[in-house]
Amino acid sequence: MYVKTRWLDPAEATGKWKNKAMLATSVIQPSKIEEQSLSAWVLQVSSEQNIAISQYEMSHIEESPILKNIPGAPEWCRHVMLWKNQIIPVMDFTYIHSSLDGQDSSSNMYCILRLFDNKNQTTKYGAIKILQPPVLESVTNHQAIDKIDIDSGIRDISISAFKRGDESIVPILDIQNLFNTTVEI
Amino acid sequence: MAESSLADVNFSSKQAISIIALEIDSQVFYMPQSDLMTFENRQSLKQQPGDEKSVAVMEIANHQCPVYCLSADFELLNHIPDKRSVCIVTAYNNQRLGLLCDKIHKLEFQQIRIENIPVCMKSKNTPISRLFLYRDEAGLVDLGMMLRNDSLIKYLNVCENKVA
Repeated sequence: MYVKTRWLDPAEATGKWKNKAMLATSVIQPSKIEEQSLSAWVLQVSSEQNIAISQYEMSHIEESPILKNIPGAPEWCRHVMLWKNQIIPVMDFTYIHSSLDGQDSSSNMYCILRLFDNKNQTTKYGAIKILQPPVLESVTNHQAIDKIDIDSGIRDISISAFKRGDESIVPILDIQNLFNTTVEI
Repeated sequence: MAESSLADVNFSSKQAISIIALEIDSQVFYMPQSDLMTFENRQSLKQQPGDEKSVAVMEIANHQCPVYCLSADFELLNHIPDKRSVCIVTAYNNQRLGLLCDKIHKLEFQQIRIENIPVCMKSKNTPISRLFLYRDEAGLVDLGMMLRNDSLIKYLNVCENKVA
């Protein structure tokens, strides 16, 4: 399996991220490339959980944005941030992963994701709190696994999943539905 | 959360909008002035017995309307904290009710853009149904939480019907 690691395009990175992006693009690991591979960003959303999104759903990384608490909103989506003149909901998966219940929340790093609205032909944005900088991986069809193997807390918000070289399972998140669905508990 | 570099926000309003800022436990919510019927001092309220979900009643046009007290997290309180000093009255669908606040003051926003709360943030545990961007007196853009009469009354009706 070919696993390529790179950060955001250095041209898009700013400030502290620019240096990291330049550095990381120089450490791409040489390996054998299989055909039919697709790129996905892998995001560490808790100490126990990585999730993946399509390469094109990633927009930006924000560190230490100012968040506004919306009282009474679901605990996994209790904050919004103001980004490029838009009000963006922020998801914290440490609350979705039932065993963590908000632990691991000390990180201040957020992925800004593109949400395509096919009906209105517009792009909106959502954010996910992450613990580590995202990693771009190439994923092949051979890595695909049955959805039933995904952790039950994440399964319903996933499209499918793949298995990494270390046997860990990475759900591919259905972020379009995730940000466009109201969940009442 | 003021941002200084948002000069190109597409504000939808062309006219000044009067908003009432409601302060509850250091949290500020905003209500359009058009949703506010009146307000009264706390001293003019008649306190309720402890088994009611409303904490007091007030008389408006010969009708008694319930007065509620919420925390900043919108939990229904069965007592009135000392700092709640003013009661706003709002109405929707022929229903009137009061909400106790620490302070209120009127603001005029020249530029404002109101949006529905993101779908994934909707919850029966919050009466906040809209968020808005506004430009403050210093010219900075900030984000506010809007309490509308309809969503506040619906929320309190749900609270009222919850089993204690």
